[in-house]
Amino acid sequence: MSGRSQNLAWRTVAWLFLLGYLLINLIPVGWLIDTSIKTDADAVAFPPVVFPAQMTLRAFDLALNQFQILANIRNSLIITGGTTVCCALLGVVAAYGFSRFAFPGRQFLIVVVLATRMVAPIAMVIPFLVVARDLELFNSKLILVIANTALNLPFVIWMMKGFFDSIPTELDEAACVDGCSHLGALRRVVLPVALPGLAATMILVFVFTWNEFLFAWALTSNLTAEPLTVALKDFIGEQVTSWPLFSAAGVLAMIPAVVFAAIFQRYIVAGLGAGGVKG
Amino acid sequence: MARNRLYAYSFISPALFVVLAIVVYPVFFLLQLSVSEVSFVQARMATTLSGFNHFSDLVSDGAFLNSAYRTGIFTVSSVFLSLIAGLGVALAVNKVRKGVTLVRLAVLLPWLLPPVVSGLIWRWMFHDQFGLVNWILMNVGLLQNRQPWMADVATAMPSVIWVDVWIHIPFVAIILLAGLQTIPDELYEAVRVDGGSSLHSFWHVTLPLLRPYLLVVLLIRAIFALRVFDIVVMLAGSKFGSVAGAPAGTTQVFGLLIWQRAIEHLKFAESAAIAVVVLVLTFIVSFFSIKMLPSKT
Repeated sequence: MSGRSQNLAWRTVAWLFLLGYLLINLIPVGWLIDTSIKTDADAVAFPPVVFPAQMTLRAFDLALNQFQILANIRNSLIITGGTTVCCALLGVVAAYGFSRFAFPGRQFLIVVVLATRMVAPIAMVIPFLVVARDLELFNSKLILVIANTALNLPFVIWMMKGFFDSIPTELDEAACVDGCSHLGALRRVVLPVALPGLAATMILVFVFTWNEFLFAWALTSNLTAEPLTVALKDFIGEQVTSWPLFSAAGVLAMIPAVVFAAIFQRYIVAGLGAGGVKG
Repeated sequence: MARNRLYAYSFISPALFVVLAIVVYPVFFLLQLSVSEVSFVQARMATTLSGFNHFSDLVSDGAFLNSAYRTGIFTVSSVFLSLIAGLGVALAVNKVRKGVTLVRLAVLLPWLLPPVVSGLIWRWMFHDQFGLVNWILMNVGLLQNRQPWMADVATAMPSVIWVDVWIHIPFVAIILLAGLQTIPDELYEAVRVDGGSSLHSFWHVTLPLLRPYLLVVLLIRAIFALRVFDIVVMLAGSKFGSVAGAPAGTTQVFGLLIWQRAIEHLKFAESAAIAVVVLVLTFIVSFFSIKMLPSKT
């Protein structure tokens, strides 16, 4: 009996703790959204106005048209899309190779791939900058696709190797009895089984690339290639800070993260379940 | 078998080429830069080997020593605070086990946001005149006057640490939650049958079994804290995007110093030497963490 009431007490504590934590997560994000639909006057009122009498989308209009955020969003989409496709193609094939074949140097190469994941991007910025200038790729979307692919490929190989390892090899062999190639087995049999894992991995690559800022700032100089994250930073340098404008750009930048979190949700639960079984 | 080997290499070589060309090569280039003198002739860069003088210069370099100190404070505080808070969240989510979908979404949110946006959000929250943080703290009586969080040398670094912890609690919680779910209920049952308290089972069952997960999180968090950049730029960046680490260099972590030396001062070789220091620190952290992990994982 006392065990049960103790359990109830802990459960209540857990609920309260979680509730407090969620408020700390949601209030700042909610405040950004709130600010983005205010007039400049309401935004800088103190005490703050939570429910503005006058709601306006003027800040979004200003950001998209006058500050040309639309061009930044386009750049972000192209860079992120390109990176995700490159990572999927190269990463899946390599992960399949690591998972399915025994060959000399396999263990060593796995360690090399993992070690590259440890290299701090800030250390790679200077070499990248020099090489980008030499190859005349500075301020291009291509160099950012290359940089982001390099940053994420080790992660993709590692994740997909894990998913492939959990699929029995008998499955490929059964497919190959009918005379299909290894690539055919991967495409027709293994990949469909690993699809939830692939989706989760690629969504993360998409989010990481969309969020990337360091290389984007170092390797671009104008709207030709500048993604949204750099545009956001540029607002700090504006002479007069309009917080609704700043916030509207921030809201636009976080939409993919929020949308993908909603989709990702289902897969992360599944991934955690799988981790529990393997654990 | 030989045929298989050929297959294997043809599968992995494209990705391996990419990794070698755009990660391993830049690292070697960086190492070379750090022991060279760099000069610019008509915007083209020329390098000549000069030895380890950039590294020996660091010992008496005030800005470097300052940023080593700041990075140390930042890394230790951010890693431990996010580990403790993340463990709390993981335990709470594990205990509640209800309304999971929406709760998990809200828990994940800060980790999925672009760090630039998180920096922007908190730059606004911490605003000295119109910020919500000052308003809330003054209303509950914790603060008498408006605190200029990011302009005061005493509160700037703690504010940056707070934002980094806020961003990374979800990551810590997700990994530790996966760890918690591998612990069989029978173990808790056994402690209860023996009359042990909840605290007892936390100390003798949960923590020991969670150890490998805690170590992995510690490793990853430390590596990522050493390279912090985005949020400090957004929080402490002044007009024209300077990365001096305002106020008075109290937030100038390694990332900002490397950037300032390379991009603002065009001192590529001197900057590369600091970048090499960061790489070495990263590998030391990884090495010790991996040694501490049980060989099974």
